[in-house]
Amino acid sequence: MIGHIITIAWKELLHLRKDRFLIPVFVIGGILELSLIAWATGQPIDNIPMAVVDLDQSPQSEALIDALDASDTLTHKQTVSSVDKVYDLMQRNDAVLGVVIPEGYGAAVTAGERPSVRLISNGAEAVQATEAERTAQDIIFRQGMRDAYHMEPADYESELPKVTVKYNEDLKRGWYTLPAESGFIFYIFTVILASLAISRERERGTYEQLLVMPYRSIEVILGKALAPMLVGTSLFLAMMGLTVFAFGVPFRGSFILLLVIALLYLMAEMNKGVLMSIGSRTQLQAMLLVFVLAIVDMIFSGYAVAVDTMPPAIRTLSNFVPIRHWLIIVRGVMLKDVGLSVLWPHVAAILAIGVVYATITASQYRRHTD
Amino acid sequence: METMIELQGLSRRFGTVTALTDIDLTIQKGELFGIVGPDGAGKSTLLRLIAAVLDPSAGTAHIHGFESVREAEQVKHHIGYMPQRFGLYPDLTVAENLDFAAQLFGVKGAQRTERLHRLYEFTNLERFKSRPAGLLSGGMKKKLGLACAMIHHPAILLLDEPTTGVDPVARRNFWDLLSGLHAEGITTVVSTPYMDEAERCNRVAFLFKGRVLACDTPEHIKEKVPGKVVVLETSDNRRAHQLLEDGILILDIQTYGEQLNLVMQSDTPHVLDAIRQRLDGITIHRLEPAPIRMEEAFIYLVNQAEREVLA
Repeated sequence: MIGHIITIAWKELLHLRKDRFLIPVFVIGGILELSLIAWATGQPIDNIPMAVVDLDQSPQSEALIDALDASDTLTHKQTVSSVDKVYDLMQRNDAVLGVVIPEGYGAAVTAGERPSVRLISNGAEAVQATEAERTAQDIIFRQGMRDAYHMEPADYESELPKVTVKYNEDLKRGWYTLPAESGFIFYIFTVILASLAISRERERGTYEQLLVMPYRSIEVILGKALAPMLVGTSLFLAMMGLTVFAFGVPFRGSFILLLVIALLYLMAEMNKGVLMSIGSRTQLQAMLLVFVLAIVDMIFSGYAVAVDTMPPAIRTLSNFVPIRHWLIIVRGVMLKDVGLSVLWPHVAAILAIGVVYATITASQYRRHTD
Repeated sequence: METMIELQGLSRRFGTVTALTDIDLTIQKGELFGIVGPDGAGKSTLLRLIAAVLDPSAGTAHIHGFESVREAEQVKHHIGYMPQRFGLYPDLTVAENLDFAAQLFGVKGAQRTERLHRLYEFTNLERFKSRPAGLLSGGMKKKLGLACAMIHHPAILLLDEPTTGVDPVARRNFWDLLSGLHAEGITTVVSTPYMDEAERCNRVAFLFKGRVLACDTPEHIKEKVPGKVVVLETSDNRRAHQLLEDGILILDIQTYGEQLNLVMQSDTPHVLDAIRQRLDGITIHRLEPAPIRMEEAFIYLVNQAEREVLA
């Protein structure tokens, strides 16, 4: 039994070694993708273009504009005469934030009031707009306190809410995106390999030859599953290494625990790939299935769109997507240093999904080609 | 005599299409048995049923005493099956393909070395050992397929059109290999659309539209054709065909390129003179008796079967 499985697995690895395309694409593509994401998300969001409509033209309004411009986040790009001009700039993507200082701002401030300043933000650039808005509100508040009540931050800081950020102390985006992206990379390649395993033999016409060999179907499936598992595990190690050592994401929990769960997770995904492979006549069909399901995974993973904000039915559905659980686990282990006592429901879910896929695979796999 | 393959009432349908109807065949140990028929006759389906990679819709197949559905796993140990399509891995080398086959069948150690050596010698593939199988010529691919199918010394070889798409020299070469195996006593079932190859089998089953039209030695099958074959070449074959079509003496007219083969009740000089007379006005280049070949026998049997369907 073991000998048979190893024979098939060895042949699969031989195919991979001969393939001058697949493995280089996996390795170079994976590293390139992760590096790009690390670089892109490693940059702080700054120099967001800001347009100002100063209807007051007082020393106080100018001080406010200078204060806004002085922040790293915002850059004073242009001063325009009307709100319509701000919209113009936004349409041409020359402004993400518009600041409208009302007439009489200076006089009101001097009289000890804190008049309202109008902010217009470009919602089409949601990420930048949110950041710009938050920064502008903060600066306008501080500047108002200074001009109206002659209070510096130190004078009122104790009255503001105290914020403590845990697990990702500096709210670095890379710490959030990199473990997730590396998860996507090693999982998608594993599924692709698994999905090609049987469809390739079908397409080449070698499947029939394999069927006349004195092997049980379970041995063929397990043998074919072993190669993608090996490649997937290597990719997992490589991606984790990059994430931690090259891109500085901390690894606070138990690596052995994460490795064991990663194997379970890969097994679930790999079973899905083999199932798609059995259902396909050609490699192209198998690949298309992989991509359709990858899009579903992406949406339900909770990475791009928060699952908690989805309708209840979809939230329930998302529990059947292994990568959703994996992302919770990888963040839990890497950033929060939590163990099985907290993560077990997600580990159990991954295990259950894997078993369901394996069962369907075993029942669908037939000895015959018709 | 030991029965190696026994088919009883074997039928196979694919959806609404019936590929094989009620096949009864018995193949003895050591036979070189040909399954002959045009494309779509059901040759491949029949071989796949025997190879136990396909289940019959009705009837049973016993291979080396094992039933092909319930005991499919045992069947696999006794057969070497070579599908019509090149079934080996084109990216692996000749040696890697053979090694994989040896490993799959658990052929190990000294036995493996000895068998590989023999197969290399037998097929002349030694010098192409490190060439990817996909880059071999058509004939060599078939030889490699045969070698892989034989790695475990099967009692029965099932070869599905092993010479289709192979050049004539390689075809002859391949059949010499099969004759060698026949001499060694290996039971071989081979399908082919080529009648000259059918001639080299010790028994032949004529398959047409999923039915066995005849199953016998080539000699006996040729004897089924009543009468004689006369070869005719004229300046206007089309006109000659028309003139002779309704002749009482002529059972069948078959066109072969520039020549017409007349299947006749008799080929005496007297009869040939009668033909000459009827072809008055057409220049006759050649008119002479010829031995009946499998080709004529097959076309005769097919025409007869079609006439029966029409009648």
